[in-house]
Amino acid sequence: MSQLSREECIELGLSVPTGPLIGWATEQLAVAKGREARLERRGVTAPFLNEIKMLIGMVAELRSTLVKEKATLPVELAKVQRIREEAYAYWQEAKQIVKVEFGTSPEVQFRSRLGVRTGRLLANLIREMECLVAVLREHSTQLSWLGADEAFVNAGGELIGKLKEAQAKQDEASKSLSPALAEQCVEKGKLYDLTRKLVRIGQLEYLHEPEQAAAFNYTLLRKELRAGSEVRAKTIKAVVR
Amino acid sequence: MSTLSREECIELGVSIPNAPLIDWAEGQLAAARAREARLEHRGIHAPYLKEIQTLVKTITAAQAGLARTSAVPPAEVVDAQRIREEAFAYWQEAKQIVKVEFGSNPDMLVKFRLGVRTGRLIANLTRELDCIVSLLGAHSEQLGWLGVTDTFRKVGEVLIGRLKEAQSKLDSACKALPPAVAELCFLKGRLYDLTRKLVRVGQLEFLREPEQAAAFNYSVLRRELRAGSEVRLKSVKSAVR
Repeated sequence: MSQLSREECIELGLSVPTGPLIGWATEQLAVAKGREARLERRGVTAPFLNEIKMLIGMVAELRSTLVKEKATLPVELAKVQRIREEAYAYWQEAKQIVKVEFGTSPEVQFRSRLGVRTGRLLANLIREMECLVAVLREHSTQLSWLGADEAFVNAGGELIGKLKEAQAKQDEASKSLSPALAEQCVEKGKLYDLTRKLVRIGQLEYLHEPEQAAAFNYTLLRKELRAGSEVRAKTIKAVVR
Repeated sequence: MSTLSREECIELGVSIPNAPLIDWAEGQLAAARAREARLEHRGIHAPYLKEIQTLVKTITAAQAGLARTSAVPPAEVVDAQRIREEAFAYWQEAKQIVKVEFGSNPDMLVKFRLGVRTGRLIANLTRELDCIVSLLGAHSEQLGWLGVTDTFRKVGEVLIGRLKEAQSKLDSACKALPPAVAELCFLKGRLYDLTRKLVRVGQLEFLREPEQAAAFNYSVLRRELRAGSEVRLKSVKSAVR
């Protein structure tokens, strides 16, 4: 059901800690189980939910095996995630700047690709950053009153360079993973992707019932990931001001 | 500061009832005043806030000076708003369907123009709906499992036709407004546009401080508009199933 390649699944798997991923997927599965009749209308049937359940079991089992074998992830990967989070924070800020200034100009919004979701894949984020930084540069005079001055645009350019470097390091590290670790990452990536789809479908089915839709979310997963990101985002902000 | 034409401002103005607009603008002004030092980093200075305050006063005075009958919007305006809300709900649903199916395909997300905001202008919404309905048709096989049936697409086409008709009636109704009412609508449109920009700037400045960012919102304005919309959305939803 996933449209992601094995390599993309490994990258996703590497980017998400196992504990919060299992917790989040288990929670979303429970949310869906109370709402099966409605979700079936949007193609979420028993096999879809069973697949999530099976992946949760598999990821948990692989984690136990890896703990016993004392297998650990390469240290470079932590640095890669930090750079991705910094760049993601920058991208969010840049998108909001474009929304403010060009909020009534659909064609600039379209060119800025504001509706794209990069997920957690570096290649996606690099492409979107390149596109958006080019728009910021092109409209720098018009955008400087919002803080998108030369320093801000240059910070974006530097982050793109760091992201590319990080991507190369990550590709190397992924290739050198032990087969058991690589397998766990694939399963984690698949679990992340399927649970994300479940969240989006839940939000679709309950689009006009906000209280119900709110049950489908990323809160549990993001809680653990957020703390570090906020510190880094503030650092970037301070640097570019 | 606004990039909207006079006609667009009038259309915005007729689309929003006075009282919620004034309450919302005053609430956002208060939120901004409590955070002036930070907002100045993003170009929101005293004259910007003063302009909002002046508009609030002018609109309140103009409204009081108009006869009670002039305060009631023409039937065409009410109809146009109803159709706009129905079409907007359909567009939201269609966009969420695209996010589910093409969530990991950035180029498809761009093709469907997911990042474009239509605001409350019917011409913008008609263009975006036109685009998305034709693409739903082109990708109907892939999207069928999420509820994109022939009926769903036909509902979209019908809504586009109704929007075009509503736009033409609305244009005529706006041209026929007495000068004082047209001026009031123009001012309301400007107030809406300026306050919306303030909300977006507030959300930008407090991007990494969600509790602060939450003070900049559309809640008061939407509360009154929502009740009617929800009823209509459910009708659209049940019609396409």
